Amino acid sequence: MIQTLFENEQFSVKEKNKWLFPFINNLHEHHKDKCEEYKLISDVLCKKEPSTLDELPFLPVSIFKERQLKSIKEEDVFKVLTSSGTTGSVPSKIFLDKETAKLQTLALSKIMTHVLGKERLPMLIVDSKSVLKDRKSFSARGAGILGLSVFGRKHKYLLDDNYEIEKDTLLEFITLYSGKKMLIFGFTFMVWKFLYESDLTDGLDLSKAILIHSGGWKKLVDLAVDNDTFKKKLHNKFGITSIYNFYGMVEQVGSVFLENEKGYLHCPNFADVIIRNPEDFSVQPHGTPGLIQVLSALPLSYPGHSILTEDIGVCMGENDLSWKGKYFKVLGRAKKADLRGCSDTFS
Amino acid sequence: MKVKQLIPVQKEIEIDKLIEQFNNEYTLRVHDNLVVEFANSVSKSVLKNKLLRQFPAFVSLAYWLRKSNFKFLIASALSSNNENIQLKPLGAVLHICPSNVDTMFVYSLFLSLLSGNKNILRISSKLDSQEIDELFNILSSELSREEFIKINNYITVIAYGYEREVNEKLSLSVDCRLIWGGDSTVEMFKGLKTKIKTKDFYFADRVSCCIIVASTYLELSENSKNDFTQKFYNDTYTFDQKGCSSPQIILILGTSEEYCEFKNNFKLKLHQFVSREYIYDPMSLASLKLNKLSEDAIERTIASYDSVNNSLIFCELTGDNIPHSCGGGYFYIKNIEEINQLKNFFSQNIQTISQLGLSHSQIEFLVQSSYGQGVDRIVNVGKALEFNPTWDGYDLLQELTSKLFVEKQNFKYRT
Repeated sequence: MIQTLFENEQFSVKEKNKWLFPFINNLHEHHKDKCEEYKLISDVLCKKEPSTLDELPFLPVSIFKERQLKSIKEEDVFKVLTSSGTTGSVPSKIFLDKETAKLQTLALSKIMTHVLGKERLPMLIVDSKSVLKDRKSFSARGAGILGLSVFGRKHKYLLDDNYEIEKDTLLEFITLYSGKKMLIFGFTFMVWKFLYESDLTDGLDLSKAILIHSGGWKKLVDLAVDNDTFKKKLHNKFGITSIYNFYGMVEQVGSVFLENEKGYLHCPNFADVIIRNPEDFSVQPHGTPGLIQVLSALPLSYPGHSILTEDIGVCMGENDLSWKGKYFKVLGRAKKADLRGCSDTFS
Repeated sequence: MKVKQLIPVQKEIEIDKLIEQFNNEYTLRVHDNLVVEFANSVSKSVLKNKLLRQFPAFVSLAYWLRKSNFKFLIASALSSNNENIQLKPLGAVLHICPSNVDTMFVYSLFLSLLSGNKNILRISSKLDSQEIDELFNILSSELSREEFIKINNYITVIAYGYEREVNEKLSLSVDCRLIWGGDSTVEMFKGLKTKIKTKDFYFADRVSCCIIVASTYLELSENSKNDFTQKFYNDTYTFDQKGCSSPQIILILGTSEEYCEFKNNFKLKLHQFVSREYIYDPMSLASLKLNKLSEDAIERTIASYDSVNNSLIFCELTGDNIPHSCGGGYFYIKNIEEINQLKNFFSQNIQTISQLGLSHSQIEFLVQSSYGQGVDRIVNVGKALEFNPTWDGYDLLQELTSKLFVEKQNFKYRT
């Protein structure tokens, strides 16, 4: 059963085809049976029975914006996840039943305890509580915060509803925990803008803190801040040494790819990546960039077990000394195709 | 309300001031020789331009703008008029230009200019094309030459965004509107008030298809097959397969064996040209194609697909409807065994049929079965993008002039 993927130490699986393929292939059959749209797509895209992970068909990530795909009955929808998306764009909608939601929570806990240990740490959240207001429809930021909150205690939000630093209560938190082990979580650009660029310096010793951040580098690339700069600057200013970025997307539950000390992203036991050649979707050799395909054994309630993202990445190798499986880097986002006919004068 | 004027000179201009200029004197005649000279001069500059001369579309445009072609156009326009008819301009013409690099609007601009009309071109303020910028630079510098000073009044290019007020004011002031754009643009302009007699030309969303007689292709020599494939490539990939007249659907007339043989042969041939000549961003094209394949699969538009790589995909069409391709080498393909099955594909939307191997009588049959349907052009493969003054069903050179009846003065009162 899928439990074996959880029970083993995370980031320890070497042979993904042997351990992961049977689970994901079951999902492939399951969704063909339960989701008509998935079957139609699979019938066109998949030319033979898959026998390895890379032979499974993959859905384009944007299909979750255009269609509401699910393999469960309406009444079994327990939670709907939506992507934050930029203003004006349609958000993705992901339908979870109780079972898939439970797996998602379990998966996250397995991954996080890998870096945080079993003890719950005092937690500083670099965001405002206001992102959680609409409980029915979680934005990616809200969902991320809620998901991570269970790994902390004494939660303190850095910002008030107006995105101003709450200095008074923050001081209290700092006096208590400065120089001690704590968990800091926030979206990458929020951490940069509201923590790094704040005027908080005096007496703030975060050398024992563990900073976990996610959300992508798009906004920071504009400021010419890359991962190395990000780490170095935060270290210089606050003394933080443990900084973990993770890569994931609302469209695929279970895919939380965590960065190790070397700055590479690693796959948990129940997920994998394949880098695809954009010319013909063949598998790229290690070291050659391509589009990132993500696979996860968790999505039971909707056909999101194999997705081609619009992110460009490169697989750096397999079976690092400490963490097993593939390790990779995200290089950026593919541009939107801009092929226009005579047909859009006013767009 | 101000807009940005690009031609004749760059400046901010009050829209009312612009409209006032329509009242200036008409200094050009219909079919004025100065316009012929101007077009010829623009033609030379385009061919001398290092950027533009790399693009077949601009080379064709330059070729079309030559003096000899314009003399020919004038002669053919005059031949159909009887001796009582004098031509005069319609007046002020508003051109709504597409936001892509399609050059069609330049053709209609010159036909309108040749007809003696005053032209105002609306360009999207979001248009971002080095080629079009370069073309506008050429027009500006030609217009600034002493000898063409009279034409300055006749071409104004302005750029603005969604401002409804500007569209309303212009629509109410002009005598003719040429609207290149999608259905929604056309509908938006149809909803605006115009003068009672304003003449409109709509160039809305269209799709085009290619009909190939399999046996004709298969019997071609190797050289001719290559030649044919180059022509097909030019028709389709020149504007990323997104020009209205670029085929999105390939219908193959022949037996199922001929169809398979054609497909296998043609796919590899076309791929040779694509891999050698087509420049694209593979990352964005891959996502575009996968999205479209998935959408078409869900809609049951296609049953399967066949590809060498993502820059060339043949999708087996299931029904008779004509879907829109996503472009960039995404073709719907279908085998047709009998010519009369073809008419099932005709709809209001069809613009150009480019073809190989149809006989006179087969073409005649297609013409008749298109009555009440779309289909505005039937051309040979290789000519899909070639501009003709008769476009989308309009004979533009005729229609952009007004006809003045003048009785012959051969009657005399007895004195």
